[in-house]
Amino acid sequence: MIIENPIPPYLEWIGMAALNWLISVGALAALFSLIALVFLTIRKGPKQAVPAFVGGVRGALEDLFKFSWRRAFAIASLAIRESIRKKVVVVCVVFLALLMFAGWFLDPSGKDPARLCASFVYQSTTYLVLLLAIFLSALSLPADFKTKTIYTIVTKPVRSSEIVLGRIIGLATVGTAILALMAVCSYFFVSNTLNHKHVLVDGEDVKAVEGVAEDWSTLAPETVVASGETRLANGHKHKVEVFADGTARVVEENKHAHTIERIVEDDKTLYKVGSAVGALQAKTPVYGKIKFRGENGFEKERGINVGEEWEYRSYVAGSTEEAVIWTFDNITPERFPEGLPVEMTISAFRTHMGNIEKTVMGALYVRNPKTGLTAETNVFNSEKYATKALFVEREIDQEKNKVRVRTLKKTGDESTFDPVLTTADLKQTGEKYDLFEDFVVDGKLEIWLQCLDSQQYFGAAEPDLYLRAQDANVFANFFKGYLGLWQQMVILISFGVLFSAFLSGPVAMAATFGILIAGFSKNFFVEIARLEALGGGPIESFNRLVTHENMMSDLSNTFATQLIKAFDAVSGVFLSVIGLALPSFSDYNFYADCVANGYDVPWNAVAVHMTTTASFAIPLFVVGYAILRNREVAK
Amino acid sequence: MTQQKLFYRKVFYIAMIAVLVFPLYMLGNPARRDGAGGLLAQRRDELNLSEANLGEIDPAGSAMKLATFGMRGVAVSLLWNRSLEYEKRSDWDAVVATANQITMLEPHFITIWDFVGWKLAYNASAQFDDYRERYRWVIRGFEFVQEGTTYNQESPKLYVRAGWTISQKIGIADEKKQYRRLFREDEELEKNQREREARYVNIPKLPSAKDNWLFGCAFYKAAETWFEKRGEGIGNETRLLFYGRAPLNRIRYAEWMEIDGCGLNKENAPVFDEENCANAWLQAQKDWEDYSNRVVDTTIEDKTNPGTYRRTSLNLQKEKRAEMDRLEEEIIAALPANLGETAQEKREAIVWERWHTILNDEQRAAMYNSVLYPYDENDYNLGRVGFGARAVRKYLDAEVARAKEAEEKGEKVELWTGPIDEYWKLSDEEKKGTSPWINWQSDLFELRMSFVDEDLRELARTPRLLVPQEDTKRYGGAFARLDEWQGRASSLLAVTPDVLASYLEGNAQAEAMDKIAQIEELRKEESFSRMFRDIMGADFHEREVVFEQTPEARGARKYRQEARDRFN
Repeated sequence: MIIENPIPPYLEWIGMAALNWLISVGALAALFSLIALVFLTIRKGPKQAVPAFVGGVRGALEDLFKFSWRRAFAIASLAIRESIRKKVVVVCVVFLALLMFAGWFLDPSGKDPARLCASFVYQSTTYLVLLLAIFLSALSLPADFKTKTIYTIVTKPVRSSEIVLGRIIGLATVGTAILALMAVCSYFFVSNTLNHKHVLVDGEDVKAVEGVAEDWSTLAPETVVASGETRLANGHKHKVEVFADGTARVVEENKHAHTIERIVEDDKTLYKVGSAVGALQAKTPVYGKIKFRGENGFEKERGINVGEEWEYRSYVAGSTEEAVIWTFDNITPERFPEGLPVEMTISAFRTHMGNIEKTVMGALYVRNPKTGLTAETNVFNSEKYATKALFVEREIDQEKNKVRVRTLKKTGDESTFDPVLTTADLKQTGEKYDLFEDFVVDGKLEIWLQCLDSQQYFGAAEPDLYLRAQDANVFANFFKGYLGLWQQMVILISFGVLFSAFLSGPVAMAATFGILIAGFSKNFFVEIARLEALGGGPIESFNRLVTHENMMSDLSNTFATQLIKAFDAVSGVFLSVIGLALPSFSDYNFYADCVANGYDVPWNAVAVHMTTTASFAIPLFVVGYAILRNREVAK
Repeated sequence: MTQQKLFYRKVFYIAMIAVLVFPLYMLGNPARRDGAGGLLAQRRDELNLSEANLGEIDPAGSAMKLATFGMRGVAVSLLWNRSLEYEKRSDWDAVVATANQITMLEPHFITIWDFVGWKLAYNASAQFDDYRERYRWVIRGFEFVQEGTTYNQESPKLYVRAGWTISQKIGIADEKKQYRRLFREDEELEKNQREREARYVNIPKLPSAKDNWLFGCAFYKAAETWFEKRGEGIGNETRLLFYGRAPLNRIRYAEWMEIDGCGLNKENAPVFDEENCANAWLQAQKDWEDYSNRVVDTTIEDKTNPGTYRRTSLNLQKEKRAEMDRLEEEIIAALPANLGETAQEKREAIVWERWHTILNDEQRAAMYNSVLYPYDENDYNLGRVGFGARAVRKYLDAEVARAKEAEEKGEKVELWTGPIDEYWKLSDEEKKGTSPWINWQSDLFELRMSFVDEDLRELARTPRLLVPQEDTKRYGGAFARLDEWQGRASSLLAVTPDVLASYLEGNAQAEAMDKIAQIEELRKEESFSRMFRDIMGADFHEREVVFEQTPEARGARKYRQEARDRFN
């Protein structure tokens, strides 16, 4: 799976994140306090301003400490009832209608149908739920103001904080319920779409391998005695292998396989190919840290750039000493008793066609980071853009696996090893090695990847190779995938309630919608604010649109151009501040991406994102409360 | 506001609505069986823009278009940007999925089908390492464009793109052998194509031979059909190029039959059949001849008739050339008999005369390489050595033979290189060290050397292959002046109609000048057509399709077949 911005471990991240949050919130609080003081000074005069401000702060603290969760939940239940009255369930009907016609849009015959289906349901749910969140949150309070039902609430002993938080909780509950319903429907839709069977007829589709003895009992159980291909279904076929022990296997194709049962009755052989297995997965990858080895033996952070526009991967040359090295931690026999299941998605780059009918060859090695003991464990044909699964056996044979000692130079210093092993020592140590005893040191292990073909290259990024630990539960993981959307919804509801506290319904809706758009394009927004985007700032871009200038050419050096650039520079400062306050909604797509690509959503990511969500929701609630508290509503 | 005013206002609104309904009806009335419909429906019909005219109507696409609430353009722009991002990350499945969404929203935007189809077949396929995977993406690109023809049945451009992809990408890629084999063995493609053929009428059909060149030919023919019906749709592409694709595919099909067989037998092994090969070449010849005779509009404006375009065909060049040659033969026939009996002899005589009367020493020295270049009369491509140089060579060889005879007879002979008298003045002793007769090649060489700068002369005498690497530039510079003169020398030796006319007098000359004027008029059409012949390689293909049907070529193919059978 592509991970361009890896999420750091929670405990490493929280310290700096919390500090940044406190500084930002503190700065905003100071700014708002200053604005409030200025406003009060203008309204009540300098003598009354400070006491009024202090009184306001005291009132706010009182509201905070005398906050009643009971009342807040009462407001929340009101919000829920109000939403049901507004027939929000219609959204579910729309969603179901979308699922029914989704077959027109989706093609399950692609290479990765699970990804396509999962992406579709997550995307469509996103659009519907977030739009619903905007409608509900932005129109809720303004509707109350318009119909004057707000008076029935504020005349009771309900604090503004309870009203705001109650709305947020209530609307979030409605959104969560709808989301849960959609998630269940989505799961069944995806399962149903991916479900298919193949036909396999003995004699027509499966035939005996030439030269195999008729009496299978004389052969080793794992000998392939017959092979063939299933009939076409969902745009693909599977290869089938029958073994001497009477069992059969359906080879994986389009990222799934099938169960198969071989039944022999009255000299007739029947094959029952079952439903798809493994279409939806929840792989739990264990990632290592990456570095590269240059041809001279020095390690470096990045490999060669082969000229690709997207620099996610860097490359190592084939048939040289260059290698990609991953260092894994916490490798124990308890976690991987039989050996290491390695999966990788590497890129191959050819500088010449070579042998057209063969893909580029590569080799995988395990290495002791301390002694340099290295063993070649797998030689393979690369599969570009496909995930290749290899298994590193626990038992390593010196002759078969080409064991030797390999040194690595650190950049700037030569590394030394303790104890120092040499190739001569290997001859005295014996022929058999154990992966955990001889190659793992303090839980650390290095896995090396090299390209074997001359003048060809292998490219990799850190997440491209991992160890596959025990898979997580697919069902639970599918629903975990909706956590990202849930968090987006909560933040959007918080913004909606905030805007609705002081804006009219349509304006609040537009503002919240603007937050949604800007949140999904936060990086682009910040680029424009900092004048780093092609085409300049907002006014310059508009000028280019109107005058049909392209993004690359310089504008003519006139007074108007200077004025435009100056305006953009000034507005850029303002936009940068807004950009900092914007939530990065696209980061939450990580959850859907994980599920669509068949990976378990890591709890570390959930913790980081939940904390981020709370870091937005809490200040939004406080600001919303402050605005509502100071609004002229029957005090 | 009073109730009465409110009432009047309502009545006014209703009246306005009623009034506006009429123009709305006139504009928006849909077309029916018994009527052409409103103005918009009629314009749609005229411009062939209605969904039913353009191709198949897609309910899913229509639903998506409605769902965008008129912001279809915005949605397409966003999707396009997203697709570029996916392409950057080589996420080709996502590129395809996004392209499908775009084409649902804009099914009649030809460029999307054309561009994305090409992108998948060429760019995406090149990214993969396994040739089978690359083949799959080529077919995916082809099928994408083919899908586009379903919604845009009248677009010649899309048929051309589909035909190009299946012909060129499968047929001339580095992996062409592998691709052609996979194409023949591709049951899924065949199944999909047969289903399409059962569903739609008049679509290009997959030939039973399952050859990519033939399949591409079917698409090119479909493109031609729609182009002729519509009169447009290929932009500014030269029509001769457009019509030339199908016959070229036929030639490639015949070529490849010999390389990898005429289809597969039941065991999926290629079948080689000489009779089929010969028939394929015969068909290729017929197609090429039909194409060569086809007169088409070019995209070059006719300056004598503004607003129209010049028309030509490949065979027009031959017709005009034959006419020009006939006129030239008539001029030659009028030449004096002392120049020679045949036209060839007369031409050669004129060349020889001009060699030692018109050309000066520098120009003769400049012609050294051409005159001495070894040529073979049987070589069909004699263009390398001009007629003039060959004629001079023939005469100079004759000079040597004459000098030899003269020497045997003890006669003195004057040659163009200088009088042989000098030899006779030598003493007997001196004669022993010299050649008994003058060798014109060495004299011409010395003449050539006399025009090389003195400081470079020694280097210039070195054979080219023995010149050291560091002196190559100086060596080239030594002959710079001579190379400049060579063009002039060649043109002076050319026996043009003007030169021929200069050997006539009086009425004969006047008649010759008239014929020359006619030749010049014919030359305009001839050279125009010649340009296209050169572009299309017409000379080569014409010879090729004929040669491959000769007994010699058929025999060679049979011989190879037998060797193949013995080897297998």
